[in-house]
Amino acid sequence: MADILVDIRGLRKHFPVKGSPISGRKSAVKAVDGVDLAVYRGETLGLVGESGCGKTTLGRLVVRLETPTSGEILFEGENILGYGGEKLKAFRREVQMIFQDPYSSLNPRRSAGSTIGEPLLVHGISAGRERDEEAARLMEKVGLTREQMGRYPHEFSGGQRQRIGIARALALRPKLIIADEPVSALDVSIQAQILNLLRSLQREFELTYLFISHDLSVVEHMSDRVAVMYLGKIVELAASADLYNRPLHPYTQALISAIPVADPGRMSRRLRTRGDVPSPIDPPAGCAFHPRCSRSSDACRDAVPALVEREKGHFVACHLPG
Amino acid sequence: MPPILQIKNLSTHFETARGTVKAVDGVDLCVNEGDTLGIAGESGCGKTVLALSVMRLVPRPPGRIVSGRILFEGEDLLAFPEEEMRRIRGKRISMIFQEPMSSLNPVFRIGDQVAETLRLHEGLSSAEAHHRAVEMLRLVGIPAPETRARDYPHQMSGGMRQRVMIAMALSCRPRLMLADEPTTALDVTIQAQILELIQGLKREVGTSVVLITHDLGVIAEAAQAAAVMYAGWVVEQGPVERIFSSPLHPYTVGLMNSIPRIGRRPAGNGYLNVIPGTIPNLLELPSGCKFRDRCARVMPVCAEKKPALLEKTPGHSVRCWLYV
Ligand SMILES: Nc1ncnc2c1ncn2[C@@H]1O[C@H](COP(=O)(O)OP(=O)(O)OP(=O)(O)O)[C@@H](O)[C@H]1O
Ligand SMILES: Nc1ncnc2c1ncn2[C@@H]1O[C@H](COP(=O)(O)OP(=O)(O)OP(=O)(O)O)[C@@H](O)[C@H]1O
Ligand SMILES: [Mg+2]
Ligand SMILES: [Mg+2]
Repeated sequence: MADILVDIRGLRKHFPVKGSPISGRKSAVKAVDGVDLAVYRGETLGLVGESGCGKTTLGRLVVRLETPTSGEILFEGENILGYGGEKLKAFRREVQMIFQDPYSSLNPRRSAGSTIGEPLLVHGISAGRERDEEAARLMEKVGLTREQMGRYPHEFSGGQRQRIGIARALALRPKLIIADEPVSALDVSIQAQILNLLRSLQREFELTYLFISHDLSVVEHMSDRVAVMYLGKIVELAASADLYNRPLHPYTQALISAIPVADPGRMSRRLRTRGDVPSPIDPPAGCAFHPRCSRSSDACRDAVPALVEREKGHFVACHLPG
Repeated sequence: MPPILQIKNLSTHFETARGTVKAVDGVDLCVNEGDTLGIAGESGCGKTVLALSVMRLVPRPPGRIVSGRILFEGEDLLAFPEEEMRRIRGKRISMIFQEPMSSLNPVFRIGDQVAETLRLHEGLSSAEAHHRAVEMLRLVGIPAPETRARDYPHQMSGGMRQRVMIAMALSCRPRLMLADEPTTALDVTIQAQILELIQGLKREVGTSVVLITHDLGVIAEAAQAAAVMYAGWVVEQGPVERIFSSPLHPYTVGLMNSIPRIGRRPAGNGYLNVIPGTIPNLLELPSGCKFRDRCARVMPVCAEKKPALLEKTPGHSVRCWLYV
């Protein structure tokens, strides 16, 4: 049995929103709404889903930038939600996040070298000359040069800024990196450079990735397993090849058939989903996907389907899978 | 049939404090009647400025169309007085802008905004314009269009706003539509709906389309012809099957190789092929070919002289010394 690094159990995050002025009833955005998910040591677990389905919130919960409404997160078997003080500080060394937007995630008044070396200082690992040397080494690791250490973010391109963000995440030698849309803001040619970098760093430092993206081709390329999220819930989870070859959930099927294929000879047979993504404040009863689904039944309107293992390692939450 | 749009040696420059940015630098391009031409290229290569030039909407100053001709149905748009251009814009040529939120007016109901275009260009009465506006919203797949016409832009999702923009762009049955990244901000499923919509409306109305996107998959699915831009140049143009099956320019080849493709993991170590380096700063362009410092097949001549866009096989042109 593979070794579980992170075990997410029954995790919920509800953001309260102002009650309706008429009914006065309080409501909440159910950004993450009952997620069970294990991340194995050394793997890349891809997380896909439409905008607003809760991917970033799930990532922020795992690094403890957000406190869950309920549920637990075990890291190497220990519940991190009970952590405080020294334990929390130690945990923060183990888990790092790379952010979506390379433009706003760097402090414009800090040089590249100082940004990358900052975590070393905060965690009291190194200072002064030693810290600068480590920052320079990290810059070279991610394909920048040590001569660029004194430069500020605006002097770098988007792809270079993303490299700085990656170097900063690596500084503390973490075990887990949450990469939240690390290439979405980049052009295809630069995107390929960053994806290759993440892959080679994973091999060198034995990293585990939770790789978040709405680009299904990128996720397929990077991931060992893929989880599909819809309105705060995991609706399908499988090994990458299984998920793309034999998706069982109608939502996954629609997502995969909607990917534009860079191959004019092969016109895709597109499955239609109707309508827009519903509101996470007032999600549909039963299966949240049923109003857009092509094969919904009475059960789909009444009962929330549980995530069950249909084939070995292939989980799906659907009353009528296949 | 003559092409509906023919751009000849077009240059659009911006005067900035740090120098002249040649955003569009001698572009030749051709759109055949009834076709969709996809334009691809990295951020900052001049795609939006090219489209704005056709609409004659380049902000001036700092921007200026410095040379070239833009033949639309055989007539040079650059020779028209502004008055005439205003009648063409929105009626015979329309544009879907990259930012849907910023091009819808937040204080007007969306039905009124669509109707306004129709009143202006088609001379319809208020009642007729409103009726047609609702029909257009229905056509672009807005559910309950009579009710949704009363919505303000912020009450709609991103996908719905984008469809409203398309309804506006198509309401006067234009001959040519310029769609600047119409689906980039959207999810794949909504993106697929919008692309199908543009295709369907194209068939019904007979509009020719220029589709700007950096997503090559979108071009492969929706276009008949494709052009690849690099730092203000068109480096390759041709029928879409040719561009994808036998790209000529080393930059196009690099782009094709760097896209992850489902079910086709790169063999061996799993790394994608990449084009090394980044797009040059438009203020410090290399001499000769603009792509040469990233090109694996660079030759001495590439540093000396700029290559010209030359037709290699009928309809397939490339701007590269390898093919001279
Ligand atoms: N601090 C917050 N307060 C209130 N609502 C929030 C907050 N953060 C997120 N949300 C809501 O939670 C839902 C999930 O948001 P999240 O950012 O996790 O989505 P996502 O899947 O990462 O989307 P995207 O692909 O657009 O980044 C959204 O409806 C969002 O509006
Ligand atoms: N108002 C302006 N003033 C100065 N330079 C400008 C202005 N507008 C555009 N440019 C420059 O012109 C070049 C081309 O910009 P353009 O917006 O056409 O790129 P693009 O290909 O549409 O990129 P993207 O994919 O990011 O939308 C860029 O280098 C840009 O900085
Ligand atoms: Mg997000
Ligand atoms: Mg643009």
